[in-house]
Order: sequence, then structure tokens, then C-alpha cells
Amino acid sequence: MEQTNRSITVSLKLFNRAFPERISLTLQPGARVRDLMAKVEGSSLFLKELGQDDLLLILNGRPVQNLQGYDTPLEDGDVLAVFPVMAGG
Amino acid sequence: MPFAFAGKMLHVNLTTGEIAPKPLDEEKVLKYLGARGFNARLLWELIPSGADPLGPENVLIFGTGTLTGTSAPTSGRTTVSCKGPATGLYLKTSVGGHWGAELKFAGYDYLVIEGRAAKPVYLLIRDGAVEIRDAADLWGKDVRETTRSIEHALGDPDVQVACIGPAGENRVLFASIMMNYYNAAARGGVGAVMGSKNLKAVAVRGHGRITVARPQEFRRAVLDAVEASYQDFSAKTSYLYGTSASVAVINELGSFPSFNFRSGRIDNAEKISGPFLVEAGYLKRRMGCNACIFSCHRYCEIDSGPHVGAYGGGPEYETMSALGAGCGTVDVELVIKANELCNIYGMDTISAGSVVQWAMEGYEKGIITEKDTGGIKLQWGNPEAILGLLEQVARCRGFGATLAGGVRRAAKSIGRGSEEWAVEAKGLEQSRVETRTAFGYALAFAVNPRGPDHLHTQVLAEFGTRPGGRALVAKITGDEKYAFPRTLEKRADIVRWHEDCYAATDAVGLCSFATTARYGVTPELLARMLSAATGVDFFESEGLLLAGRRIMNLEKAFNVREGATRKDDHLPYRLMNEILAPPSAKGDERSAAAAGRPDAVKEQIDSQAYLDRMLDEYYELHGWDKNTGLQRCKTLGDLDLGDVAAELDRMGKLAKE
Repeated sequence: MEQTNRSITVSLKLFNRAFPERISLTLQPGARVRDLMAKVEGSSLFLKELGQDDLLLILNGRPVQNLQGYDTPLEDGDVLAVFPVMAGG
Repeated sequence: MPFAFAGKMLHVNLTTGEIAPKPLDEEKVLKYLGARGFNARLLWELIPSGADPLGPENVLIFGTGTLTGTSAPTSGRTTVSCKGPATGLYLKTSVGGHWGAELKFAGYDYLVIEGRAAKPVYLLIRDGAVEIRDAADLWGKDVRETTRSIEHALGDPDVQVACIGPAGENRVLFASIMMNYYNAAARGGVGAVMGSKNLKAVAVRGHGRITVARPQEFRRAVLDAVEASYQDFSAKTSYLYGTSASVAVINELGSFPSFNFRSGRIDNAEKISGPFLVEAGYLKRRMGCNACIFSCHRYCEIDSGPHVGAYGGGPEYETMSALGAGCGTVDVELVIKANELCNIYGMDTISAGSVVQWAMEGYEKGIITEKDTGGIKLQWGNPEAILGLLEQVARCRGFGATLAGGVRRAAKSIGRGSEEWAVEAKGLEQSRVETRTAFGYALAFAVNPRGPDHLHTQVLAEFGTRPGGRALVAKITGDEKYAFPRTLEKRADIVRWHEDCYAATDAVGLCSFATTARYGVTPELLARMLSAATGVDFFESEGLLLAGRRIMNLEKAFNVREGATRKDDHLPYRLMNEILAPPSAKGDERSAAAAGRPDAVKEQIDSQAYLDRMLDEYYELHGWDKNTGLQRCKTLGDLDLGDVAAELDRMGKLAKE
């Protein structure tokens, strides 16, 4: 995709409780998932307490591990949902 | 008394009234590891091919795990096995709680029920003493009333009761056996088999103990297993929020079966999630099975409103989808109430929800009308429809009698294309996993001997979302890159390893959450605990996984003997022929293929050709014939199942070498 100099807006849904906390973030073009996480991790106790391996990040309905992990580039309008890991059902 | 075992098995013939305790052949049990494995061996030996699942020649076996009754973490599992009435094939159901440990404390590792009582009876086992008692007063009672009546009659609130409700008495083909109110041996109709034997309950009380061969070594292995289990953070979320913790995640992935699998998401799914149960005050207690270290089980109650007073265990993730989103509702109180009805009438919530949503879709399409339902309007999410139909099904009344046979039989009876939204294979309703978007799961569900569900082979590792899963996939396939659910590559290898491990887990008596969901208890740790407990040293991990494969092959052979072939290893029509909407338009653009995954052939499985490729690889990996799906003499011989091969050979049901 052609790079532009315009900043991008990404929606973050933090599932630290049943209904997510929604945060809208403006990022530099070319920003990656790790840039976004670095930007928010200090502001949320939930993120401060949990390490990368304890979190499940879903970008537009896909786990980031099925994309390019924390290196996945972000685009304008992306939605990133963040959950504590869970398993079994 | 042998180490780890109580040392006896109990045969009860309800036709003749004979009660026969027999010494346990531990060597033979350990060849199949125990529980699910030894049960499968007994089924093979005791049930003649072609037997009517609801006839007296079927047997119902309660088999405890070899480590059940010890302190091995999550070792509270018991396997209930029989020929399944929904599928006419092999059936095992694994159940938690405390009943199995109690049976061992009462002196028995296995209970084998044969024949059929002339009138309703229940079985009482107290410290080795066994009685067949009249159950005329219990017949017709629900699970709660039955359990309470027995506790009261014995004057012992600690008695462990396994019983059926009206659904089992009425032979609903997805009737469950409920253990001590809240733990369900649910899938495939084990409750109908118990009902067909006129057996209302098995009450157990014991004061014995289980000893292990090498206590110090066992203790060290147990502590290592506990520590390893807590490494994965999901151990904590499991305690906090139970299995329904996953609802919002899976909805976000667009894979939360909703509206009878027509959609992979539903608005406001958070309202039927584990965190919501906590925050809204429905969760009253967290509960664990015997020797559990996670306590994922829930106890919920409704304090006000139209369903005030409804209570029970769960609802689990599966129930939230089956009785909630699948029926088009996120009304959590309605789900708690519907779950309560299933638990007290003794029905599997997955299949019960499946028949309701199948009927709702038929109603929407005008194929099922109020004339059929006796006036109930089956709109999506209608509380009267969900609760009303569950009542009718349990009693086999009105339209419920049509639904009581499950969706395959109901669709056959109604016809008019309704088979296409009957989400079943082999006659079993699919559990609430969206197999279109997870290729390993699709393969595992297609080949599962009991039908399409996740409790035979749980391949969570293929998602690659957690370090433990990625490491496991790397160990199985040689490369972490295969921890990716949208490729056909290496699915057969991943599925087979999980089959082996899951079978060993069930047989030893542990919960799969400790092994293939949380990865903490590895086959090596399982083997260490088993060796130290039994004093038998041949369980190095390869041996354990091979024993798992022996179990799997024996289960497969049971089905082959009943006439099953490759054509039975398929998936529900809808999940093979209809495209699921992607989780978001963005998500579709940002497809896995576009993210540098050339092996991501498709975003979802949408044709038989994809499944066939995985099936070919899977059969070849097993050493089975890929055209027929039949086993070979050598494959079975290598697993020390020569006598099984010989019998199949006599029937002409072995593949050519």
C-alpha cells in the first residue's frame, strides 16, 4: 500500500472487564502493533500487569500471531481488541 | 490392594440381578491406561456387533481414571462408555466432579452394567456392598429430586449420585447422566442408554483410600505438574471467568456459532460471557472437580426478575452458544434458566440447543409452523420457544417428540431441505466450534469416532496464540510456523498427536484443560505421575502416547465393526457448503494470505476437496487405507491389537496390506 504522511486512527478495545474500554488512538503512518501497545501500556493497569505472553491481540478479527505478530503494520480504521489469554471451553 | 487402583471391577446384570465383583486385571487395564481406554476394550469384548444401543445387549460402563482418587492435579475424571444411541457407533463421555473418586473409595475401579431391569431400579454401592434397589418412587423425578431423595433416604448428604432425569427415562437421544447435580456425562445419549436399562441412579459412598507405589516420587511429580500448569496465564482466567471467558474472544474472531451456525458473531455477546456473570452478580461460587487446581466450574443463580430462583452449574461456553447465541439470544438469564432445565431434566445442553435452533430456522423458512409446535412461535430468541421446546423434548411431548431424536432424525422426518441446516455428522450435533475457520479442528471433528465435537481431540495449539501452543506445534511438526489455523499443511500430524495425548489424558483420569489446553502437564509429566503411582515403569512418554493411539485405534475398530468407513468421516452440510461472513471487512482484506502466508490456501474450508486432502494425509499417517478408511493388519498388530485385527479380518473389514 502506498505510504502517505497522514496520521492514522486505530480503535482499541481493552477487554479488562466484560464490556471493553474503547480508546481511539492517533498514530504515525507506518506504525505497527508494538508501537500502539507501547503507547498505551503505561496508561492501563490491566496492560501494566500482563506481559506479551499473557495477552491475546486480535486485529480486525484475526489474532496478530496469524498476521505478523507485534510487527503487523497498522492501517487507518483498524480495530485492535486486547484480551487476557484464556483457553478451554 | 494394588497401587493406584481400588483393585476390583463390578459387573451388574440387571436382567438376572446378578452382582459380580471381580478382581481387576491391572496389567490389562494399563495396556489401555485406564478409564476411556479400558472401557473401549470392554465395549469391544462385551457388545456384539449390530446390537441395538437401547436394547439389553448394550452395556454401560463407568470407568474411573487410573490416577482418580489421588492428588494428581485435575484427576477427577470418569469415563462413561456404551454404544451410542444417537450415532449407532462408539460413544464415550468424560465427566468431572467427585463420583469417580468416590467409586474408588468404595472399592471399585469399574462398574459394568449389563441387561435390562424388569422395572425401575437404582444401584447402591457402599464400601464394597452392592444392592439393586427398587426405584418406583424415583421414576419420573428430575435430577434434583432424585439426588435429594437418595441423600435423604440414606441419611447421608455426602453420597455421590449419578442419575438420569425424565429425558433419560424417555430415551431422548441426547439425554445425559448427571453426577451429584452439576456434572454432566452429556454427549451422545448415555442417559437414554441408562433409561433403557430401567436404571434410575447409581449412588456411591466409600471410606477407603487409594495408595500410590512411590509416594515421594509421586509427590514431586504432582508438584511439578501443578507448577507447570500455573505457568500459562489462562489458568487464572479459567478460575476467574470459567469456560465462558472465551465468549467475547471467539465472537471477536467471528467464530462464535450464532443463529444455528449461520453467523460467527452476535451483537452484545459480552452479555453471555464469563466476566459478565461475575460483574452482574449471577456467579455465586466457583467449584472444582476432585483434585482440581483450576476450578473453572461455575455456580450461578438469578436473584430477581422473571426467572428468579433459577440456579445451577454453569452455564459453560458451549451452553452460552448452544442455548444462547445459537438460538439468537444474549439474554443471560434466559440461558441460565434453559441451562437449569437441561440439567434437571438430564439433557446435553449442546444437542438440546441444537434441536431448538434447527427448529427456529425451519420456522423462519416456513417449513415448521405453529401447527407443528402446538402454538409456540419459534422466532429467534423467543424465551417461550426455547423453554417451551426444552420441556416438550424432555417429556417427548408434542413437537418435542420429533426433536428428541436429534437434528438428523428430525430433519429426516420433516424433510424439505432441512437436512442442510441440521448441523450434525454421524448423527451427533456439532459442538460449538466454528470448524470452517480452524482446519485442524475441521479434520479432528470429521474423524472423531463419536461425532463432531471437541472433547476427543482439542487442537487449540493450532491457533498459535500462546507460547505453549507454538512450542508444542514446533515439537510435533518441526516448525512453529505450522501453528496457524488456515493452512492444510501438517494438520494430520497435529491432530494425531492430540488424539494420542487426549486419549491418554482421559484414560489416566486427568482433565484435558491440564494437558492440551494449558500445556502444563506434558506426556512426560503424565508418565512420571502414572509410573510413581502404579509402580509400573514402562510409561516413558512415547509409550504413553502409543497407548493413546492404541485406544484411538480400538475405538475406530469398534466403528468399523459396525460398518463405518471413510464416508462417515465428514462434517455437517452447512459447514462444508456455506461461506461464513468474515469477522470484519477489514479482516478480510488483511487476510492471512496477504500477510505473507502462502500456505493459507483459503480463509475457510468450503469444499470437500480441502477436507479430503487432510483426510488422505491423516489416514496415511495412521497406516489406514485412504480409500476406505479401514485399518490394516500391520497397523493394529504394531499396537498389540492383533486379536482385534483378526476379528475384523474374519468380517472382511480389514484393508488389504
